[in-house]
Amino acid sequence: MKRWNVALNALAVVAIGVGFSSAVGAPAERTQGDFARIMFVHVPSAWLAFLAFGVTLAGGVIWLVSKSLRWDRVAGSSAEVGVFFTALALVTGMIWGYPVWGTFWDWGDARMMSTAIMFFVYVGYLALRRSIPDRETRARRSAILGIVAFVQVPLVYFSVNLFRTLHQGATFSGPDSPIDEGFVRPLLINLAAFTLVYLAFTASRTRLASIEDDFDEAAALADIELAGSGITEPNLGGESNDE
Amino acid sequence: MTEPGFWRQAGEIARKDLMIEGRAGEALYITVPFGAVALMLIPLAIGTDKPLLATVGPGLFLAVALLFGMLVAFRQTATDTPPQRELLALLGTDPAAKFVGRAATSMLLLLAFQIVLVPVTVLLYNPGRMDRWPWLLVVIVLLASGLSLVGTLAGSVTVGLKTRSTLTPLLVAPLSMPMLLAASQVVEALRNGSSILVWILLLMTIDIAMAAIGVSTANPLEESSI
Amino acid sequence: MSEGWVVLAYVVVYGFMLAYAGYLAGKARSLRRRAEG
Repeated sequence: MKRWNVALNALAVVAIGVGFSSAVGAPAERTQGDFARIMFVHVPSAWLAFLAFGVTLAGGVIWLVSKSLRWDRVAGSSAEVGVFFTALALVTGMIWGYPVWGTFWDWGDARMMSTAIMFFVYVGYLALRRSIPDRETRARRSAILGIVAFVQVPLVYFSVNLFRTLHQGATFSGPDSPIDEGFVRPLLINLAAFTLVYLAFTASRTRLASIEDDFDEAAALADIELAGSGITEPNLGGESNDE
Repeated sequence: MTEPGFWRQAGEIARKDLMIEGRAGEALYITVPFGAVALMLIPLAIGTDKPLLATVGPGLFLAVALLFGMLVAFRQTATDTPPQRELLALLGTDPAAKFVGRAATSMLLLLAFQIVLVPVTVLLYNPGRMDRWPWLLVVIVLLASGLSLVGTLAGSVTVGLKTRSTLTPLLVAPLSMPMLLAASQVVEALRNGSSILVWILLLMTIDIAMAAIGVSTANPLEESSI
Repeated sequence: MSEGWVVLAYVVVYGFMLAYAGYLAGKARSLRRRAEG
């Protein structure tokens, strides 16, 4: 593994440790007590999911412009890590929700709804990538889907928000409700830690994708050679015209 | 001879698609009955209590219109075979015009699909008359265009893939969620007398956004090697 | 009572991260084996 990769991974681990200790050390919250500590892992997960899908959009667009496959690999890897963080955000959101709402799911929560829809949209994105063996076609179609997928994010968020304000009114306490001053620092520390984890995962995943692509390309070339090398020059005797 | 304009090309593509679909009849003879069967199966699952069905009827119509209607957008005749694609390319067809033409046909078929299912819903669910009900027709049109745009986009991204028939619905379903929400909120607002304006605007925004993406990405997509 | 939920949340988060790291490591190992094999 390249040196900076190892360094990034180590840094991410350290940062998570720092994040964890800051989460433990934070004073109990005014209204929710210890329970609000779930926010330190829920909010960064949701943030990183959005960031990851933004990178997927950017990677796809840059590929469309430059045709450099590296950006497509970044887009695909970021989507995979993004789905990972989306799952985390959903699970932690539901763990929060159950004691607070009495159910795992609140239909009026715009952010959870957006996150859930995005989960399925990007699972579809990954399924599309998996279905296309040809690199360039995969890159092209993924880029288009990446654009459509990301445009959905504000649409879903806005529509569910509208739904909620018309039905339940603006007051509502969920995993993302406003917080105490003393909570901001551990939140930011964990946000930074999760960002490092995202970078470490995405960098590794991109590199693995690059190695995989090289293998596939070599295998394809080897196949071509094999097909041609079965035919040998007929030996008719006499002088060869080749030098 | 001057090259036909964008709208002329789109119109010809739409006409061709409609003709082919007219002969194949997939939307009419297969997808519409499928939607009707779905509407019949659901009460067997959720309960045949009349007030319940009257309440959920319009919403279920919308859900079926979306989930089953999307099959109209990826019908067999909506995909070009390689020779067809080559022919269109040789003729110098604008890919964006192809997209618009194809989406237009899907929209008309989806409109027909929904319109046929309205009386089925009324018969089975007996939802009762609504004030300002003509607005439901507006919703049906906006829904048909939005779904056809998303469906055509998703269809063009999955051309030639082996998993196409299952992958395309997976792609379209979550993307149709805002449309479904907006449409069902119009129904709700019609029922309790509140304003439908914001939801109609949302539906229109989705349509415009999807049309813009479809048209602008049509050219890059065309270079696909499959 | 609520501590249980908090602990669960953290275990899930860190557990997922370890699992994904393991998945990446496994992928790397299989690619390395392909390179040698």
